[in-house]
Amino acid sequence: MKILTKERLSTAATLGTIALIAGVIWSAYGDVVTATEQRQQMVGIARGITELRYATFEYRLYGHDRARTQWLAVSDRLDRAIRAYEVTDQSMRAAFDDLIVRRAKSNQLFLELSSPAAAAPSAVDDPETRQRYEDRVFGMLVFGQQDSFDDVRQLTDAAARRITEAERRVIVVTLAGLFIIAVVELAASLHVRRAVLRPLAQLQKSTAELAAGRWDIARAKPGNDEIGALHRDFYTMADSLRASFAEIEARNRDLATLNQELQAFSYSVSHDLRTPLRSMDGLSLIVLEDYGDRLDGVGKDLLTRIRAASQRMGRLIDDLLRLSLVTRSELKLRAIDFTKLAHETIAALDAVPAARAAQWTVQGGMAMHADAALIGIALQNLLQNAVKFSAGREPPAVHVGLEQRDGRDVYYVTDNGVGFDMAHAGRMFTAFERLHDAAEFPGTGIGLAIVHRIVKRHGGDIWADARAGHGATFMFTLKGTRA
Amino acid sequence: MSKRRMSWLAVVVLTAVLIAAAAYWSPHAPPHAVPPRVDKVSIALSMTPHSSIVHIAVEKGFFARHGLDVIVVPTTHGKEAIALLAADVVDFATAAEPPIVIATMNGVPLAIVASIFNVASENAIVALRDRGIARTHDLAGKRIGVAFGTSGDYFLWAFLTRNRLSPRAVTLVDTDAAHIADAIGRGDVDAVATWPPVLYGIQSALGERAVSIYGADAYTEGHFVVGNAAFVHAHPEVVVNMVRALFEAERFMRSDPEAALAIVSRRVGAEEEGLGPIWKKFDFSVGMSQSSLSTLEDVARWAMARQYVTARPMPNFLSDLYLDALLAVRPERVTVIR
Repeated sequence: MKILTKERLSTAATLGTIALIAGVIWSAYGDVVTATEQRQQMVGIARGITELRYATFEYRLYGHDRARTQWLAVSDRLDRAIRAYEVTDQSMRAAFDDLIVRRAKSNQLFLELSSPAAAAPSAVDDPETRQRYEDRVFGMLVFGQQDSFDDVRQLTDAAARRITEAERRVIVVTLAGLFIIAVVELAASLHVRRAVLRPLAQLQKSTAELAAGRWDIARAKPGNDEIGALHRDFYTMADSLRASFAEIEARNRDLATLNQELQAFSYSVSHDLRTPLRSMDGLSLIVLEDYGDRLDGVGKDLLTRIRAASQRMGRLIDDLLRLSLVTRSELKLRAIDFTKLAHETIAALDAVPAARAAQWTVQGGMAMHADAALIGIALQNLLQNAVKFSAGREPPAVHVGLEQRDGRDVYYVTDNGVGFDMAHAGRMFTAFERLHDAAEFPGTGIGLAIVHRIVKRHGGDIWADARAGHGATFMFTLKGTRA
Repeated sequence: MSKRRMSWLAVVVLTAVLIAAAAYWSPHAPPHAVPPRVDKVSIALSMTPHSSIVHIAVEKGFFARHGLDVIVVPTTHGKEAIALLAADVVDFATAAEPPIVIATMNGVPLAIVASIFNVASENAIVALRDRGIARTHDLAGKRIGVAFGTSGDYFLWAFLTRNRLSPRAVTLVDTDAAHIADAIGRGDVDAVATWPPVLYGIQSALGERAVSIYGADAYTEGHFVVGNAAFVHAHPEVVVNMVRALFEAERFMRSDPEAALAIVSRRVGAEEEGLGPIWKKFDFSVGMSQSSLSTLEDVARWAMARQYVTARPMPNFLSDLYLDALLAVRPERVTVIR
């Protein structure tokens, strides 16, 4: 059965029970109203019987017409009250019928007792018999009224019982209803635990195993409900993922093979290219040295240019190889004293005249978690760039520092060099892209591409902030936090 | 404890609480436990429908259920039963008001335990038309046969009073129930006052020769369970158990009147077809009403007037009522002012 169907059944059972309770309360309320009215009617009838008895005694004692008139008036009112009463409890029918019979008998006896004939002597009686007759009829009247009281009491008690019964019914049905609701809720809770939460926990565990790369997840037998469908879909998805990963792994292996082949090819090509370049440079030098006297100025200049071009191509090939090494070398992450690394790198740059002239400042206490060799290469490129582009300043100034931005460590190298137009910042990390004239600032345009690739391999970002003529700042982050 | 166990425990506890609550509010009280002790009592029982409740209680084992081993001593009518009680032969008897009042006024220590039967218009006067009797006042100056000291005797007295006919205006002839039909058949008397089934026999035998005069409100005859006063006061628990058995019999008679009629007919030796027509007129209710006291006093007046007992101030019959058992079992059935 679907969980939705069960939920609907549970809701229907709860609402049905509540409706039943409401119905019983409404019915009981009706019973209470009716029984209360009947009880009030009976109180009125009992009062009438009391008045009737009082009038009976008065008439018996004094024989006044006033008492007789009052008796008849009360009797008439009593008869009307009894006629207005509707018997709803059939178990009280006999008591009510008795009351009616006694009322009729009472009227008959009183009229007989109060009739002129009752007082007149007859041929077959005597004063003693007449007295006994009057006593007897009076006694019958009084006891009839007493018995009527008993009937009224029974009817009043019956009304009170019905009120109590209605209250009891409400209590019992409410308790039973609450019990049913509790059972339904408990069953729903147990069902949710068994049929929803437990399978979901199983699913969560399977998802975690899948996320951890374990394909042999434990598979529960799916039910026929929505959770079962979710399980089936999940297992189907897991199977699809497994197939996709297998395919991706196969392609990765192919790519790795291709990459290795490409690297081998690049290395081979670099070496193979370097040999003819060296030949070109060497042969051009021989021609210049051995046959220079036979060449005019133009020839010499052309040979010199050939040498310069071949040497530049050699540097390009070297840079390409460096870039390739940066890309494929294995990361060896460890804690690095970045301040110390910066000082060491600056010291290594001492051979460069511009570097010697520069004012270096390095923030103390900088640390990071990274590959020391690669970060050293990146820092070297950034510092070389800074020195190169601030060489014309008096004095050139370069600062290496660290600051916190949005909870991240941002390392930066800032200089007071020529800067650049931020409109071109988007392409400066691309290999062989240059923002300045090579004649003014020599280089291959590969340095920032190497820095960019090293930072990316560390899962970080690199960006720059500069303004033409006002220096530049290169900032980068790493995936890891401070060491 | 695991959550699962706690859940089940909660269900069990909730169920137990609800069952207890339902039992607490149940309208049906648990049946009375059977008393471990068995008390042996004897009762003189008239073989008439007036003692039907006691016959049913015996037949259906209601007395036994309440720890009573009841020995029934059968009698033809209440007067005989009271005589056995007065002679200390039995512990209890069933009878109508006249024999009870006469015995009490003659000094027999009785305790009236409960009324078990009421009927109006059961007795009648059957008169011979050829003696010039067509209505009540025609009875003046006539000879009326009746069994002296019986409820028929009191009925006749009450009937005459109710119709303002002086008892001195008629001549009463003591005729017992066994010979009353012959007496009127032979014309020894002009009329007879008697009760069913003798009444039906006379009406049937005389046919058109006779006229029947009923006095519906002259005398509502009651039948009572009466005990030896000393025994009753010494064994209140026995009386309570007896009353409980009588109420059970009353319930049975109301719930299954046909079965009750069959049982009573068999036990009193009456034809079911003959008893059936008047069965519905009988009121088989256990209780004690204030009007019974008035009837007892009226019967006492009759007994003194008829010189069955010596004349004296009206005795206080309230002291002869034993209401403790009724009050202990069904107090609402007692309307005696107390």
